[in-house]
Amino acid sequence: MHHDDHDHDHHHDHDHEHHHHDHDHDHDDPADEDSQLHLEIHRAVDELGKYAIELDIKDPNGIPKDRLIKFVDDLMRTATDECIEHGADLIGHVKSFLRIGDDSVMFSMVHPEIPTVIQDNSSVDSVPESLLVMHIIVHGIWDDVIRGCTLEVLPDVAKKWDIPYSIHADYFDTEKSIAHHEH
Amino acid sequence: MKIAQIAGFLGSGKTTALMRIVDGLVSRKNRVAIVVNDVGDISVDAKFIEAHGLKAKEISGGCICCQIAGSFAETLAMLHDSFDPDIVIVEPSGVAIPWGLKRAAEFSESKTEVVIEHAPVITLVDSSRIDVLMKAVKRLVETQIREADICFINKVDVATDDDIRKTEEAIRSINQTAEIRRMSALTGEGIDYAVEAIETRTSARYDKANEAELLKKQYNAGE
Repeated sequence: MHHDDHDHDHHHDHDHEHHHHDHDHDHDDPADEDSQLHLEIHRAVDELGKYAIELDIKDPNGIPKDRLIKFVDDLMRTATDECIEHGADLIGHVKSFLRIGDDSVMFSMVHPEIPTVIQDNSSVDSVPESLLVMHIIVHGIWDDVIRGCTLEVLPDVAKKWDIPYSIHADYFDTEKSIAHHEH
Repeated sequence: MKIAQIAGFLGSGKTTALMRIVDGLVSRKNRVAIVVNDVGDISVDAKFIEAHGLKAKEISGGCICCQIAGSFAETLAMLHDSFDPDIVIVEPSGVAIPWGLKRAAEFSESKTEVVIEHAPVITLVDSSRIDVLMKAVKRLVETQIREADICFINKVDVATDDDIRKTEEAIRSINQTAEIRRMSALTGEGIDYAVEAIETRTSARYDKANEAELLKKQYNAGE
């Protein structure tokens, strides 16, 4: 990957603020220059790995919601720590969405040292059935590594919090960010 | 139909800000549609937005500024024909480039009888981790800041004064003309300003900016 320096010119037209490019590339057409920059950016973006997984969590006796929330937070943090152990150098975002009937609990973390933001929109205390979606995007490792890290820590974290689960969906998609630029 | 994009790297607080901004726009009697584009195959952001009581059109499978720009243009045309919103708020993927999104939005004019205008490009910058962002994804963050009309230093409620100062200096070094404002989507700081800007102001079209750039090059070539 190479990073060229680009000087940009900014034009102001009263309320209409123009921001455009004045690249060093030897192109005549600004659209060509834009495409070139676009490709460069997306090459950089290809260093972002992503992975999502959905879990069915069922217990006919009901799982205390507080415990379920602690499990999700722990899973997000443990999986992210594992990704960092395997070379990730930046968290893009790690988000989870826990569907409990018509209600939900949302989780978002962007840094290991910053507490997870948890927004609980549900009113129940005990959860017999829920669906968890967890989405991890980190910089520095690719999808397959994130998937491996997640699946590695999942059983232990679930056991720690006594959470019965089954994998509902595994969203492992291959890197394709710049495929459209190549013929 | 006005397109308002809330740009910013992953984790910069786009989804939370978007929900607050949409609340503000709706309370001012605007018809608002929401388009969300996530990096992966599923959109957790769309689920967050729907849990907030809003309906979002979800586009996945790539970046709407390039890979699936055609799908984005089709979506805008469909929204125009079926719902006729005043404003379409777009949360791009976090790795999208603002002018790429402008270009894709204008392409919808070839799909239906719609005229696209753009609200000021808003870029959110996460002040709580500016150092690590400028180290790991410098080029992308720089591009998102450079293309902004208004940069919001976000998460000022959790950032230190030093972080905020560093973020402001970083933004100003990249984009000398953007407005710089502070935002906390959690406390509501800056939200009203964003709502007002989206509702009342516009930003240059991609095709017009390109045309101006081409003319500038032609004139400069003769000097």
